[in-house]
Amino acid sequence: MARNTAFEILYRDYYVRVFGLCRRLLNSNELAEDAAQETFMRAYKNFRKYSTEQPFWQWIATIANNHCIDLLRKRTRTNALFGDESAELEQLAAADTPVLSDLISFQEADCVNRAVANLSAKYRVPLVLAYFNQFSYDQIAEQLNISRNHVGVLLLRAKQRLRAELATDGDEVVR
Amino acid sequence: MTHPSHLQLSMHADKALSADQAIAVTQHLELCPTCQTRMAAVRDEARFIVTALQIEATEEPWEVTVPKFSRPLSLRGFALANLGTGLVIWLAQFLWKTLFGELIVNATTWVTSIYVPDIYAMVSATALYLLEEGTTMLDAYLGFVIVSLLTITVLGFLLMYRKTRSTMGVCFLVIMVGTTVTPTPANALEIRRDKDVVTINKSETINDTLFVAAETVLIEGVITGDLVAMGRRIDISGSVEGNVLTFAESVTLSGKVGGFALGAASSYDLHGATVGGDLWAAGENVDIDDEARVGRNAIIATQTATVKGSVKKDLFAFAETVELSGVLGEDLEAFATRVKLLGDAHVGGNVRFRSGNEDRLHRAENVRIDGDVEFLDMPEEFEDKSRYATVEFYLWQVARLIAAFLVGLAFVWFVPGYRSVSIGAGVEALKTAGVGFLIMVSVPIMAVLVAFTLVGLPLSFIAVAAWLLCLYLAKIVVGAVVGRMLLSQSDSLAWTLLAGLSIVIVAVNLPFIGGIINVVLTIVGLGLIAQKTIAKLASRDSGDLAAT
Repeated sequence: MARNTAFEILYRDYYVRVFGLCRRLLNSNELAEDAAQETFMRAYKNFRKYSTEQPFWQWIATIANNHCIDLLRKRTRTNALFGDESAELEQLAAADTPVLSDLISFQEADCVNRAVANLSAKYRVPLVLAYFNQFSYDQIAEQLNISRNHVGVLLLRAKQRLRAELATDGDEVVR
Repeated sequence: MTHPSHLQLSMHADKALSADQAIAVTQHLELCPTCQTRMAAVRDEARFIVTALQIEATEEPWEVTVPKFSRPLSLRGFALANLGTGLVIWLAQFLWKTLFGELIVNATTWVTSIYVPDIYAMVSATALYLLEEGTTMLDAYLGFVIVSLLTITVLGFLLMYRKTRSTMGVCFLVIMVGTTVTPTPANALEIRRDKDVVTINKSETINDTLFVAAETVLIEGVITGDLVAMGRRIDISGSVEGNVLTFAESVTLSGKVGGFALGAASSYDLHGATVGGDLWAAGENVDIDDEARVGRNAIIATQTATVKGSVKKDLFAFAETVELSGVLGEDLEAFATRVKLLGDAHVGGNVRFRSGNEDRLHRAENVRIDGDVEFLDMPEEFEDKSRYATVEFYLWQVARLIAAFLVGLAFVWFVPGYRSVSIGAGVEALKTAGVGFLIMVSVPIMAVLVAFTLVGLPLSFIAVAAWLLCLYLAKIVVGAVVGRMLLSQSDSLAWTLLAGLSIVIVAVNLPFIGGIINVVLTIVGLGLIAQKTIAKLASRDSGDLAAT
């Protein structure tokens, strides 16, 4: 009974955050709602295994990540959601745009968020895990089942994409 | 000098480089101002993304409502819930069968067979018919629900344990077995409606219960089920294997009826008809001609009852004038102003004549009466006798109180939310009463409308059952509220409920105003139940827990 009450409290406190994480990963409100529910369902079933030494957020975020990544993998119908490291490296070599901080002056945070939402799952997921969840490269690598270096490449590509998108937006704003 | 790559700088900013790589990059940065600038930009960029993502996370542009958390049902819980529901439904089915099918139906049949026929008899016979029909239909419907639940349970197990292709095969098998086991609705219903004439021709056979409504109804063919007919003129010259229920201005039966015939008509005539069961007829004139045969009792409520044919058992006549020239197998019981025993009339049993005046019995010379002739004054039950003067009345009220108390306890135990209902004041109370009145009136109307479609029949029965249940619960809910108002200090549910119910039962039995109080309390109770239910449903939909 006490376990149920404890879980109810955690559910109330963390639902919005878990929902936010799922929404960033899945890019859809409806999917995020379902995913958040599923996350808590899984958490409830495994609540006995949860050790209080680990922060609850870290534990539940891992469950949410796993579930969302599974969903994304299913959606792309292939396990190679995060592509090939060397191919990504080659694309990195392409001419770069100015760094994001230079664009900040005429970009609002919500433009960045919109740009993040527009990224394909391949880039959005590691970006969210790294900069929203504040996971280490090792944790991300483990979750996505790729190498640490691959994570670095994907993140760099993600930022490159963001820059490109924001630069176009910025031009439009200036004009 | 080799500058670190973009990737290295980015990973360095995120503290993701291995120790030796990190040292190398740090050493390079100390010496290279170009890379220092690049590094600073990369760090700014990372920090900016973190900030931007966090901003949106805290200032959600759309409201997130936290839905109610529904715990996942474990396999055991799922199976238990299904078995439990199945058991409850089976129990309900069993109770329905024994209580209504056996107990009440039989008891009422027994009561109506010994009691004097009057309008009560007509009503009870109609109710009996509906109950019997309803029982088979509900039976079939509940059977369907049980089989569905079993199917779902089996499916659940299969899907949880083996997600193979054979699952579909097994599902199919289960459904096939289920559909064969499920009792099919015993009597399907055929409905015919027409403004002018509906004719069932001689060559036509209807293998269902026929429900027909038209200006003129002519039944010349065969109906294997029951016949329910409404119209201005109904002529049945064909054969009905089941029962015949007729409501019309004139009804003429000249065919064969296997079951009982029940009808109300301005003139109800049996012209050479054979009725296998009882005859229940009410109208201005009821005429059983010399070739007509009634297989059991004839119960007639009319202005003038003329019986020339034969009645195998008793004849109960509640009439202004009773004329008998036919043959009665057993007794004649007449509540009448005048009784004429004419021609070669033969009464196999006794003649009991209840009237204000003994002289009003006319007996022709050739009339044979095997038993006694008894004259009785109008029975006591027709005199105004105070119901409060009988012991039974009080015993019944105590039984009623105990029953209501037990049902009330069970109700609150099952749905604890209803424990906290209150009538409210002013407009709120009026609203409650309004809702209650609406439900009391609208549900039966809707049920009747829905019942006209075959699919809607079970629905309609369920709605009426739920409505009757709510009518019963309504006063109990009001009793609970009254009890709480009265004993606001007491925490004991049982005592407050008992006190409230006692008051309610006394109030509805008060002379003169008891009836009105009964209606008002029922309306208020219905309103309370409805409002609480709506509130519960609404809170479930929007989620109990608001997002913060």
